[in-house]
Amino acid sequence: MQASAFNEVEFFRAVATSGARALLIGRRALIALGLPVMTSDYDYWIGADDAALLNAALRPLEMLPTLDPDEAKRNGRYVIEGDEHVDVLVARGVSTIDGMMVWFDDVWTRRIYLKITDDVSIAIPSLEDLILTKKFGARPRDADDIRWLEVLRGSKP
Amino acid sequence: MSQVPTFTAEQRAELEAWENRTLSPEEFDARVHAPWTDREREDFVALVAWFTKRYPTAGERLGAARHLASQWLANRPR
Repeated sequence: MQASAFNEVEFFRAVATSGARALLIGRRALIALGLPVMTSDYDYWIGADDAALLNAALRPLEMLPTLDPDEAKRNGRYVIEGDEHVDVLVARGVSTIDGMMVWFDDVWTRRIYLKITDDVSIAIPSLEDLILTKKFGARPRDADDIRWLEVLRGSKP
Repeated sequence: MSQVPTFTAEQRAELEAWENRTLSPEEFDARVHAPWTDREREDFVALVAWFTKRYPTAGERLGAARHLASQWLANRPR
């Protein structure tokens, strides 16, 4: 199997210039921070009203949403598919497994940027917020990711 | 003859469901706070140090992970 023609830099550029408030979460964010983990898709958390902007930006890359923006908002999540699979969380707030509400607007305010190329950056949650997002799904691998993120957090000055 | 174990589609689906299960709050907390052994921590720190030295920027890390994942998908036993 060959790698697809998918251009990751152009994908990140399209997201960054879409006007959507889009945070890369999930294992791709861990990889960007320096943790060598495996994943097969991209996970984003976007502003509740930003699905249309994101969809429009990715359409030229032949990446298409599975739901229209209103349906996506009602459903709380949707998928954008093309050569790659993008899971999109579109919710104002999500509860962690231990009942703490995490609000997108707060997480967005505390976001950090990581440079991909000289003219493209990605937005990800702060380390503390990324750990909270790992408590949304509460799968075994999310717990493992938190353990690793905690070590990374402990190593930061 | 390959010595690599292979899985049926059914076994793979079963494994995937197991990996994607939602833990109870107690199970999740226990897994998060399980103590690290010294060896485990050393291995982890060494792996991160290697990865970040080999791929110093976020862009390089993401590109490398994508490349390695596609290689793994291409070569995994079916």
